Amino acid sequence: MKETENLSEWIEKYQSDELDQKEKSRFLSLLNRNPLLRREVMIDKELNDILSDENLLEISEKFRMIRDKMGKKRIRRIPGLIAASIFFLLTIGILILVIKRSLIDNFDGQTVAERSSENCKSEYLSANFAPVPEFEILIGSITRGPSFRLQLPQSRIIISRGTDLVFGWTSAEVQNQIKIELFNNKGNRVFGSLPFSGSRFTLHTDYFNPGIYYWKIIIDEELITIGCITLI
Amino acid sequence: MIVFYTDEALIHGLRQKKTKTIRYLYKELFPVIRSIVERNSGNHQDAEDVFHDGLIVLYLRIQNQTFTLKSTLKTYFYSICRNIWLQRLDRKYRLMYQSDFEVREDSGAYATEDYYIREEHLEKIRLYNQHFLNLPHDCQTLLKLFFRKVPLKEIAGVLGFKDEKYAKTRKYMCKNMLRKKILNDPDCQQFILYEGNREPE
Repeated sequence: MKETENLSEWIEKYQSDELDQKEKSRFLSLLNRNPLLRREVMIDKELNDILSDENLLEISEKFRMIRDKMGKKRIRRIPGLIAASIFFLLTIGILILVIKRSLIDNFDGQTVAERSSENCKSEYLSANFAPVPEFEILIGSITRGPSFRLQLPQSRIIISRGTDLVFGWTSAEVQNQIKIELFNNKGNRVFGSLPFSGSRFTLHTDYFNPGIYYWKIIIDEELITIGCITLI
Repeated sequence: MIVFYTDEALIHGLRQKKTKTIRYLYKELFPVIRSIVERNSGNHQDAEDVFHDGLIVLYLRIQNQTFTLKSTLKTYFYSICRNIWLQRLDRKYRLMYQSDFEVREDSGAYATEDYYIREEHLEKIRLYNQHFLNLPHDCQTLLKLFFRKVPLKEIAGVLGFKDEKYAKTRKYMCKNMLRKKILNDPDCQQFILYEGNREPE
C-alpha cells in the first residue's frame, strides 16, 4: 500500500478509534511532530461531521445546480438581450425619424406632395400674373380714329373670376364686323369671338384661370385696341 | 407560468428539500440579498454564498416542527442573511487587522449562541460541501454510502468493485483527495491554519 493511502487509513482508524494502544501512541507522536498531519486529522473530523448530514449536502447540491442553471440562462440571455436592445433602439430611431419627418411635413397640415403641388400651383399662378411687355405698351391706345370709342371696360381692370366682363363701345361705322379675342400672358389666344356687329359683348370668365389676360378688339381684321384684365 | 407560494407552502417545500421550492426562493429572494451584500462592501459571489448559508440556516430552523414565523418568510430570510453578512464582515475585518490590537473587536457582537448556525461554521459547511461536490461521481457515491453507514461489502456490490478491500482502499483515496482539495483551497486556510497549529488533545 502506498504511504499516502496508509496515512489515510491511519487517519480513518484514529477517527473511528480502531487503532490499538501501540498504534495510537505512534500516531499521536507523529501528530505532535507533523502540523500538516494535524490539519488533515482536523479536516477529516470536520468532514465526517459535515458530510454525515446528507440533508445539508442535498440542499447545497440543489442550490448549486439551480444557481448554475440560472447563471447559464442569464449568460444565454445576454446575446439575445443585446440583439433585442439593438432592434428596439433601431425601431425607436426609425419611428422617431418617421414621426419627425411627418411633423415637419405636416407643420401646416400639408403633406410633401400637397405642399409641392401647392408650390407648383403658386409658381404657376404667379407666372400667370407676369405682364407681357409687348402688349403692355399698347394698352389703352386706340388705333382707329375717333369713329370708335370704347366705353367698357376700362383698359386695366381687376375682376374676380366668374364676374362677367362687359364690353361696350360706340362706333360711327355700324356695319363693321367686330371680333373680341383674349390672350393669356404667354401670348396664347384663349378666347376668340366670331365676328359680329353690335355695340356690346359680355365675356364670362368662369372658365379662365386667375392671371393676367389681354383682350383685343379687332374690326375688319384690324386691331383697334388692347386692354388688360387681371382675374383673381 | 408564474407560480406563487404561500410562506407555509415554502416552508413545507424546503423541509422536503424540493428543488422547485429552492428555485422559487432563489428567484424571488436572491435579488434582495444581493442588494444588501452589494450595498455593504460585498460582491455577487459573496451574495451567493450568503444566500446559500441563509438557506441552510432556514432549513435547520424549520426542522423544528414548532417553528412559527413572526413575520413574512421574506423578511425572516432577509434578517438571517443580513446577520450572516454582518458576522462575516466582522470576522473578515478582524482577520484582516488581527495584528493590530487597537482595532480588534469582540467577536460576539454578531455571533449567535447556536454553534451550528454560526457564520463561520456555515462557511465551513459550504466550502466542504462544495469540494465534495467537485469530487469524481463515483467518489461522491461511495462516500455518501459510507456516511450512511452502509457496510463496505454492500458498497462494493453497489459500485461494482471486486471486493470489500478495494472499496475500503477506494474510500481512503477519495477521502484523501477531498482533504487535499480542502488543504489546498485558499478560502479554507482561515479555518485550517489556526486549528492545525493547536496541539492534539
